[in-house]
Amino acid sequence: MKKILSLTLVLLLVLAAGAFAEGKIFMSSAYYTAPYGSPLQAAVKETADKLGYEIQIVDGEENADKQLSQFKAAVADGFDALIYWPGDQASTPQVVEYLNSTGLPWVALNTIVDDSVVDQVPCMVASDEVEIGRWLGRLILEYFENNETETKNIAYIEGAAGSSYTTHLTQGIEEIIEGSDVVILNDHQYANFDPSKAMTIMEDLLTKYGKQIDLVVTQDGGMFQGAYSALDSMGYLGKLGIICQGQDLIVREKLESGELYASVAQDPFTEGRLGVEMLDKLIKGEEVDHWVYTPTGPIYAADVDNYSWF
Amino acid sequence: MKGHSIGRDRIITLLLENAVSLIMVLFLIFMVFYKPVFVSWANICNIINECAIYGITACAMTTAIICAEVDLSVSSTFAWSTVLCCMVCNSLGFAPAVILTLICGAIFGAFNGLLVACVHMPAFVATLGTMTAIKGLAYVVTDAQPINTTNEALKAFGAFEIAGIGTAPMVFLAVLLVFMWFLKKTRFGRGIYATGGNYEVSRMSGINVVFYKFIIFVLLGGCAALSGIMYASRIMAGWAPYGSDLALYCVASTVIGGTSMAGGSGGVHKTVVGLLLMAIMFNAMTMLGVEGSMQKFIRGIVLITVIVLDAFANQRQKR
Repeated sequence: MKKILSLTLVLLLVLAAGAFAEGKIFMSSAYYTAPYGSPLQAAVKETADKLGYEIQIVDGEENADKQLSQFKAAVADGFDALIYWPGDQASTPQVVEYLNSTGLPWVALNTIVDDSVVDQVPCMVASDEVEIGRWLGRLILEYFENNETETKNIAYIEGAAGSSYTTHLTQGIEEIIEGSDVVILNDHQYANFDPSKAMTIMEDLLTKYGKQIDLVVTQDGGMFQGAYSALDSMGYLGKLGIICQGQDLIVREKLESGELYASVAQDPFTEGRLGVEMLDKLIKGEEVDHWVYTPTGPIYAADVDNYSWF
Repeated sequence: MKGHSIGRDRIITLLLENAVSLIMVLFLIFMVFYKPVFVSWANICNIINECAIYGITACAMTTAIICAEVDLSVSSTFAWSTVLCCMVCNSLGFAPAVILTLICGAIFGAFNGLLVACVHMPAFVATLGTMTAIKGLAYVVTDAQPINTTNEALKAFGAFEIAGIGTAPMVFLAVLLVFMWFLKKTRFGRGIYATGGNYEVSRMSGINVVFYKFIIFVLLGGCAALSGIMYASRIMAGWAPYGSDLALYCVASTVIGGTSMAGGSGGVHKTVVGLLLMAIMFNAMTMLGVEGSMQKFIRGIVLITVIVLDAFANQRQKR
């Protein structure tokens, strides 16, 4: 009898929670399974819960056509607001066009949409990716100022070929190091944000360039982990510097141990929270900035307690 | 008593053989009552539109599997076709883009066909190699950047619809009917079944098995290119990473539909059931509020269940 009563109570509570929900939000996440996606989606859920919304997040599998279908199904199912995390810039115009045609409030999250439709997005919550690159560039110059080396040679591991994130970060780095003595030794090496691929690339680069490398730079924490393992196994740890972008736990650990010179912030928790907060304002008919930037900047060992880690 | 037993056996075998259709019908009934919006015309169109693009290649993949072959490179041919279609649309226009993309897809397929039918390379290995090479080519040609197009004809082609049904389902239906016709009604189709059923016996019977092995890859290349064109017309962009799940999707829908990987049996009409089941499941899970990771898990479980049921049905038939 007790069990039946408890079950009924739980059911009533669930129904009540549904009845008092402010509305239903639907999010299609192109990078649902990416390491960065998990904390971002957790923050989206947490903020939606706090603000009294029901939320459903689905995996867009980096497929714009699939995301379009998901949004169509969500609209048919009566969702009140939408969050769009695009996979790549080029495929965004058709989705943006559809989302605007629904008349529902929506925000674009994380990946910047194509230039041709930027103005049509009600609100975009994303990092200034070029600025993240610039910060990496500034850290590179700073590292060489603080650590005297005969040469200023970098081994540079990038994310995914053609992704806006990768392209913009490289653009930012190149802007800053242009005209300096810093040399990127290798041609583009893409590890697809995969630690094991980054490890293989790092091993190859160490085999080819060896002691010529003064500093290793990676575009995220996962790839840093791969590169770190390669440096460790080939006996190069401590003999050269490492800089990366990201707030992964391994980054924190290696910052604290002094093996990583510095990292650049891109906080998935803040980004996810801001996404829902901006959407909430749009639902309520309030004014929002067209582009809400996720804060960025350098993280040193002394700052680790000021940041969230995942 | 024996008569009852035979009757019961027949029913069980029949149920096992048509397990996928049965699961789909039961699932549809559940959805009709639980989420009436699921059967709204807008959502039905959404489901049909969704499975059509990959469905075009799935028809050719089914034919290849009937012929006891498989092609992993369709994903790359698809991606390359989105890129080529957009590039040619930007320079020469829509019609040349479609023609060139289809020809290029068929040439890639013919190369696979040569490797498998003439050089006697295992299809898995040969198409694994061409998959990497074609993908690499797409990256090199585009400098790894996505290619946008604003070609009006391509946009109109992708946006055209009758009562909510877009161009892709219409093209898919046409491709499906052609495949159903030649597989069931022509000597060419019978040759594909015979080659897949028993290669050596077919060869000794005078069937031109090399030709059949070759031609199915040409069909696969052409269909993957056609899928790529349809995709590009929907999103007006082409990029090397697009369609990376195409080969697995096609094989999965073929197997779920009930075509045996051993070759020599099955049909594209069965694959339609597999395609629909996957699209319905995907759409319904979104409507039921199932989270992304759980959706992947459930899709995997359904695939395993169908394969197990298929194995049971085959065992019973043999007995």
